[in-house]
Amino acid sequence: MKIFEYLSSLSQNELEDLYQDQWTCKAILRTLPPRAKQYILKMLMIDYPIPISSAKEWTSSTSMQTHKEALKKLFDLKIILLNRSYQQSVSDSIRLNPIYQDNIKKSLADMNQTVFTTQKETNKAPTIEALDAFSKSQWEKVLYFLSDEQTKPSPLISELLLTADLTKPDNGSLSITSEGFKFLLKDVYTQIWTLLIVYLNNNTPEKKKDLLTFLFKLSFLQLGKGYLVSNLNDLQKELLMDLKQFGLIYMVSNQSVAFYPTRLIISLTTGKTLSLFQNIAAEREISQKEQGYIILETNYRLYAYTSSSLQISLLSLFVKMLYRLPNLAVGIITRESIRTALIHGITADQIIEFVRHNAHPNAVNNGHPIPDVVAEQIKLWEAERNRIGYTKSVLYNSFPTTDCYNATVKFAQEQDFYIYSNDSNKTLIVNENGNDPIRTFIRRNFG
Amino acid sequence: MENNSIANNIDEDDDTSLLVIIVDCNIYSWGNREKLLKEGTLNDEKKTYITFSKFLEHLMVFINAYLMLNQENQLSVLCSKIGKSEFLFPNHTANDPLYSEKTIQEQILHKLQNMDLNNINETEERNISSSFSAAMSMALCYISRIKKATPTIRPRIVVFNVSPDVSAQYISVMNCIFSAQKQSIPVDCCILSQTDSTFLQQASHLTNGVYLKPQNQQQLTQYLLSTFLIDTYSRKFLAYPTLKSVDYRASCFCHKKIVDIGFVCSVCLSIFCKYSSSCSTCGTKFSLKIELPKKTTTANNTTTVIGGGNQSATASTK
Amino acid sequence: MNRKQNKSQNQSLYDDEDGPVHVLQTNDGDGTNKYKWENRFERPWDMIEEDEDGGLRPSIDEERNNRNRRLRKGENKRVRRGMQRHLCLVLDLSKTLANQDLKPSRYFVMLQSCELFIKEYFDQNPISQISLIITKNSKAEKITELSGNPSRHIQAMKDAIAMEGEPSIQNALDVAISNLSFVPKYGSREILFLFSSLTSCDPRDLAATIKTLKAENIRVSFIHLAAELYICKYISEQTNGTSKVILNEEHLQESLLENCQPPPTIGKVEASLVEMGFPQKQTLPFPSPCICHEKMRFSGYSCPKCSSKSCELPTECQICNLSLVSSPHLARSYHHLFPIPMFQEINWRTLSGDFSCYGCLIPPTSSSLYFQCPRCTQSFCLDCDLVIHESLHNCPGCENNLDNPPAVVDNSAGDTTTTTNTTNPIEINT
Repeated sequence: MKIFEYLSSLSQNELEDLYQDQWTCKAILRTLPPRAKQYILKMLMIDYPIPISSAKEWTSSTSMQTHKEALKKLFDLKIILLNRSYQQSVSDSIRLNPIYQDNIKKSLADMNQTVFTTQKETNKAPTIEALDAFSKSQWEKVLYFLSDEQTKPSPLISELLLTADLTKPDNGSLSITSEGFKFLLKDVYTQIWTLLIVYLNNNTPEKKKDLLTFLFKLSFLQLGKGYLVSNLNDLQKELLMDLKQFGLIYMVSNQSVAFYPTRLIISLTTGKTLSLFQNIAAEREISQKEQGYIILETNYRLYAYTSSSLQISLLSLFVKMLYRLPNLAVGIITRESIRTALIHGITADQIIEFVRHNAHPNAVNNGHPIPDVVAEQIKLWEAERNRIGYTKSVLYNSFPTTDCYNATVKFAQEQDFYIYSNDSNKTLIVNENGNDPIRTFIRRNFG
Repeated sequence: MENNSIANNIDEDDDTSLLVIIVDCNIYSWGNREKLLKEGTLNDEKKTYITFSKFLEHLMVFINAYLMLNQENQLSVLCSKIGKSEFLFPNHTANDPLYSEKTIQEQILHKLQNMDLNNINETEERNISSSFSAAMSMALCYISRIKKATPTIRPRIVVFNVSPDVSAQYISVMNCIFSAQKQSIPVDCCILSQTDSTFLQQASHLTNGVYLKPQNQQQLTQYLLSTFLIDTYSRKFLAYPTLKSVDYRASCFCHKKIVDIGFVCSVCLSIFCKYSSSCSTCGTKFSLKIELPKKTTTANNTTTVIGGGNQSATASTK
Repeated sequence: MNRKQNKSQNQSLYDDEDGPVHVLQTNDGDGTNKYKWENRFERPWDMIEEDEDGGLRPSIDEERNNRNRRLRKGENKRVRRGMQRHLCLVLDLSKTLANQDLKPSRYFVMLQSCELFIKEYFDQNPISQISLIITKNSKAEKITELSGNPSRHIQAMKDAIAMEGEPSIQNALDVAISNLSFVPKYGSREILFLFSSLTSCDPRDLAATIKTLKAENIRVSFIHLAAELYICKYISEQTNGTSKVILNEEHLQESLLENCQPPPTIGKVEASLVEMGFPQKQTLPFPSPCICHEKMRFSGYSCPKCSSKSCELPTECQICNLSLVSSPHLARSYHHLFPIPMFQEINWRTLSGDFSCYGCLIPPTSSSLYFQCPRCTQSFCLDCDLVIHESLHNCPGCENNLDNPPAVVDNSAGDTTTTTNTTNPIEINT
């Protein structure tokens, strides 16, 4: 996940600064992989370092690899600290970062947790569907801007896109880079994080910390509830306005007293679309998760059940669109269409991942979101472009004797310099590194 | 092939679970415990026991931790009281303005704290059994409904038990256990009383759940966080305490004696330690010979339908 | 549960497809199957009901029929059942199995369904036994002895060479009779015949065989993969069995699984006390040979009578013939003995606003059915009703009223003896 890469790149001091906040600690906890979560909770009540060998008892012997990965992740995030021991008799020991441990403990004991003051019930509150529609349309605007240059987003967004190398200035207007194409095919959370991290890096370190904390706090809000703007500090208000442009926060106007979180911001830290199911007796309707729309058949035909022109223009990056019906677009994947995408810098894996991620529920239920034959072929088409590899090399010819030639070829093969040889006209091609050793070899033996 | 493995990876990292907690709220058992604790006869150096209010504190930490682990984790809490089990969360009163503003934790705590442990004397002695089988049945109904709505969720039941087993519930508890076993829902048992519960031992053994009788209950939170929080997904690769084997020997109906070799009524499958002429459970009269796995030619005796001759049969064994 | 859902989905998928099946109305409510053109014309306006505000809502007839079909076998009164069953499963492995009217072929579908059946049978009747008999080339052959080991039966069934010659009803029945006649009288004796042909090659007069069957109190049931045969129907009628012709693959499975429920006993059956052993699992530091596979094992169950070691329960000690079981095995069969009453459908109009299902708390939605337990008068939704009757076998409401059983509610099923059933404790000790 993008957010982990970012957090791991921070120094221990920066991370510990972040861990001062309870909500940040909690948000990070639930974002971790299941195994790492369990480890944290196992160690939560232990206030002294425990030997690293005893941690092995937690796991079954068959999954040592993932055990180590989980521990490494926790080391990277400085949630677990390693005490190296310098005595032979005592093994290394581990313990939870005291700041982190303390905050998790506190939040476990805390019964009455509210992040921000909620607004009293009003009848003006937007419905959940309205919020979903809002965030979707806002975010699609950003993507539209990337895919066709007609629409113009707010200055903040276009600046961020520029800094993130997703667009580049081109004759006074902006045009999309190959990075931008890749960006379009990623899932929405990775897209948002990419931009948010650029946004964070634009700020000073102190501000950065406050902003991150605020982001984490937002993920604990409840969908469909209004929260009072007046309880936020100035920096948070500033960020709120910016997040509104992303479509992550909904406000009626810039002056309104309440803001409403959208599904996007709430699930941002977990990267999983939240299905609303918390209060079962009260809430009858269960909101649908975002549904996929693509059916790809083994005859390379692709049916997209969508009316969104954004999705169709995304597809047209690598599909030759044939016809468009009110709720259905039909296209075919051809060698040409894939090659165009590859030339733009999109990789085969990205295409396959995109189709899989957006596959129609019926296709998913069949167990084949993308037919193997098509996936395989796309990979072959990619490999096709890489048929010619370039290596700097040196050519030797006119060897004095066949013996000399044979010995040199053998030497080159042994030393791993060998690239090509032709026995009939005694030609040998070796890579660049081999030039000097081979020259000395020939000089010493036959010179 | 490679594609499939990617798809699996995405699924596999999902530890979203549905936890149904069954809290034994038998005020008689808890009240007795309270009385013993006041007298100071219960605790010694190795074993410590806790009062209901202390237990609630530990329980709330556990619930907090569970909800913190995953945004989509779902929770249900049932309490089994004397003679009646009910849902604490979710509940009918969710639309009540009194509750709607409260967090899940507050709702549960509020309901549990309303239990009055001090008037145990008012309860009649004969009526002191928890309605565990009802709580278990409701939990399974609830799980099947949630599973229908979200098929990917991994359900699990945790039982906190203090009161002794009620033999009258044997059949219904076993029915619940088999139903859970078939749907592979683990039943985790945390025994807070001094004695083991044979029902729950079987429940956790048959469903592959955790069975734990914490010795030092002052540290209950540590037990809860380190073992009872392990979700069904993580159990594939984390170590957790299970029962290696459970004694499945039966005890006879007539003298409650544990038997190695018993006589089983061919009609109702009741177990007896001695040969008798008729079954005390279903009233069936048996043919005179003990049935050997050979062809017999004994004349048939009259038979009665199950459930009919109950009283007369019980009288005859006394 | 899940499988059943899938099945109903499959069914609807199947019905949409072009094929011979879609003309059959399999789901006719009253159980008669007609071709579509034989039906009365459809009246789509009947599918809609009016609610109290005058709004329209879809009718729930289809759901209701579905439920009735699934729970039909549960409408029984409290009858005495043969709990210890001895079943001869006869498979017709004649050349007709190559027929591809069931996809991919009759043989394949039969294997699959039987495997499922055998597993489910032992799940529901752990102390019962099965013996497999095959018939082909005008002969019948017993391929497994009566035993309680599902994997052995399934393996033998898969190993049997199929699709040869003609079946023989009489030979198969004779083998089954000789097999079942050694079974103790208190156990129920059954033959389940999966018949795929339309012919039979019998050496003698079948009437004599039928007489023996009746004398031995053996129940014979037929499931036809092809069409009904008069002789089969006659045999099953004479022996209190059932005779069924399947409609499609799903129906075959359904018909087979109906036989998992122990049948009511016929006439006067001897009851008896059966001696059984309850061995404990023992793990020894050194291996010793087991009596069932003759392999060296560390752990096993030793017979309390003769101390010989068996690998798994339930089984019969091969040395002293004692049945070895564990108490959960017995407990697993109890729900057949104490069935919960059928719930009565209640009118959704009478439900109050803050009503919710007693089992799962789901609030009422206009399009679902609600049911009431006649014993405890609690109401349940359709899903819970199915779960309670098919999987759980406990009514949560009645469990809550253990100490103060309510007055017996008179209901049309005439089932008034049921309130006494929860007072029979069976204790398990450590």
